[in-house]
Amino acid sequence: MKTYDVVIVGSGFGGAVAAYELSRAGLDVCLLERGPWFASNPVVAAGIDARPFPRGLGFFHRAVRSITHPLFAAKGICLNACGMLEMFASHSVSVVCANGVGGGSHAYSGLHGRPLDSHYWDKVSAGLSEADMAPHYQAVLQQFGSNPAPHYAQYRDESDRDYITDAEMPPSYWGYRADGADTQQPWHHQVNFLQEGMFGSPNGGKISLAESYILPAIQSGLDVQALQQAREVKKTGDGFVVETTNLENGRTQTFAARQVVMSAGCINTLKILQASVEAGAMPAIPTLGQKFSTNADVMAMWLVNDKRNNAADGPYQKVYQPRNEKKLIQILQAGISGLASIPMPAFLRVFFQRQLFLAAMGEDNSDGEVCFRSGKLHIDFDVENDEALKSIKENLRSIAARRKKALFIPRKITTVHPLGGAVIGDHAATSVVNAAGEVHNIPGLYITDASVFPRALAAPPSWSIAAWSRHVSLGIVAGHGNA
Amino acid sequence: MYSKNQLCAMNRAELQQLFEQCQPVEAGELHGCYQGNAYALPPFEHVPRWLRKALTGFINFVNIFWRGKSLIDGRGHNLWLLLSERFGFAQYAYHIDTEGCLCLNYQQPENPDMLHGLHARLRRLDAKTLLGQVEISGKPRLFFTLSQP
Repeated sequence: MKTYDVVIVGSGFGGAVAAYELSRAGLDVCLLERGPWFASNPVVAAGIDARPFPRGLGFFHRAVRSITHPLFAAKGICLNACGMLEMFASHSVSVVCANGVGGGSHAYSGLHGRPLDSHYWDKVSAGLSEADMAPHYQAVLQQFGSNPAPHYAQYRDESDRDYITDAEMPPSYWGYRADGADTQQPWHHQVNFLQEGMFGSPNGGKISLAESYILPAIQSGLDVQALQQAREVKKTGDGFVVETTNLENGRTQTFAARQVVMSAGCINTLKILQASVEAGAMPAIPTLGQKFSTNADVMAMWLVNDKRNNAADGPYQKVYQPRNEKKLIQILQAGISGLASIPMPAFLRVFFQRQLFLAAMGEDNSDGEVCFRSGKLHIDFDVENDEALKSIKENLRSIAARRKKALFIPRKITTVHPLGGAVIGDHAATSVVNAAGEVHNIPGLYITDASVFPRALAAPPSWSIAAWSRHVSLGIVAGHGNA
Repeated sequence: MYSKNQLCAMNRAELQQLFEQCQPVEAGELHGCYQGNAYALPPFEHVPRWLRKALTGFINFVNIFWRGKSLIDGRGHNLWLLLSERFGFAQYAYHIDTEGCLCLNYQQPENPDMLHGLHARLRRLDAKTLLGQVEISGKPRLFFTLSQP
């Protein structure tokens, strides 16, 4: 069996950035992804066998990969291993994750923001600071090809004075191409917000990790193994063995490596690590699953029914960030993008196009606990007594009251930004990984996804995950250099 | 030559016997969308022969849901509602085994887990028709024919 220098599990913002940095440094790297490649123009042009995005009638059987619910069998119901979204329902909180090479970059809104607390990294660990992380944020932005996100003056009004102004806000960026850019390519990237929402961007107008990180890494020698579902990571004498199921033929495969980087997404990383510990393949990790956060995600539909509302403007129109709240929160007002990718009668499409979407994020208590009992996901999170969630709901109602239009807030919290569970810290008694991203009592095992964040970011986490992954990867490269 | 009526009347054991007498399929002779009819449907296995013939015949007559299968370059779909790949669902890869059976493998990542245990084998019934046997958990449960439209 071939032994790689590093095996990376998962190809989202954590895995893709690590794969790029480690391959570029000349290490022998294998990237395992349980989903398929999706057929965006750059991927097809690279001659890769890829699956179509969920579009047209294919939406109904390609959008959802699997559904896990406490009432279902432990492994849940897998509808299509090549589907784009995975849904975990639990008693208190539901979670939606992405699937496929490029992970969440296909399904996210495209918005990049730093943690709302400007001193976030100073408070995480003695070995980390904002100054340490700043160059990683910049490097990620450059490699990803993000552009400054526009501020839409036409959506601001006088009643917004309770919230901080655009000028006071830190700069934010989005992962969309400037229209017409990249004319050297045989295809034309055209940004169309009605088509490029939660279900990927076939023409590459919304930039994905597949083209910005993984394809360049392949040129540096990266071995990408799509449709390989990691089940367990085993610690061996001088390294690790990752056991996978090949989803194309159902067979078990193993990949040996000196080091392993876990970046399968918060929930799946915790699932694999817990399964490995329970199987005795790895030493116990006492704090695994603790300090889980929902990022206080609350999605609400605001039924404004306004013909002037233009979802084609982009994934967001304005940000409400209250001045005097105990907890940091922000609420993004957006048109409903991606409508064209979902088949529905024209009158429904027009109806949804006239409504608004309010997506709130905030600094919740980050005191939840995730565990898998008999393989079933249990999230223990006190939704009722969380101050940030209460504050978000009050603010949402006050925003909605301005236009006297109905606001629909789902009762159950569904997060698309699960954070924590394998958090960064200085001591093994209170955290799972150290400031270098290495698991405290298991040298050679690193974590680079959202499970490391010990507190909610109150912002979209994609940019921070990528920056953290770059920080960890450069540390691994430096370690190999020293060796 | 067997007519549709004759096939509708047969139970699982008779169709299994017929399947074993069928001719092997030759590589390269199949390409495109084929119209399908289902026989030996499990709910009608233990009803009188005349009732099975009538019910199976009626279901095949009003067959508007499952229309057949496509066989294109080693892969295919079950065809639903239309005799085209527009509503293709339940994918399979196919090959011809050493006994000359066309084997359909439903263990494809695109399929829901519950389809992964399905295996189908087809043989040539006559010049224009293939007779197929669907195995669930290793036992033949259903038969179908595919014919050129």
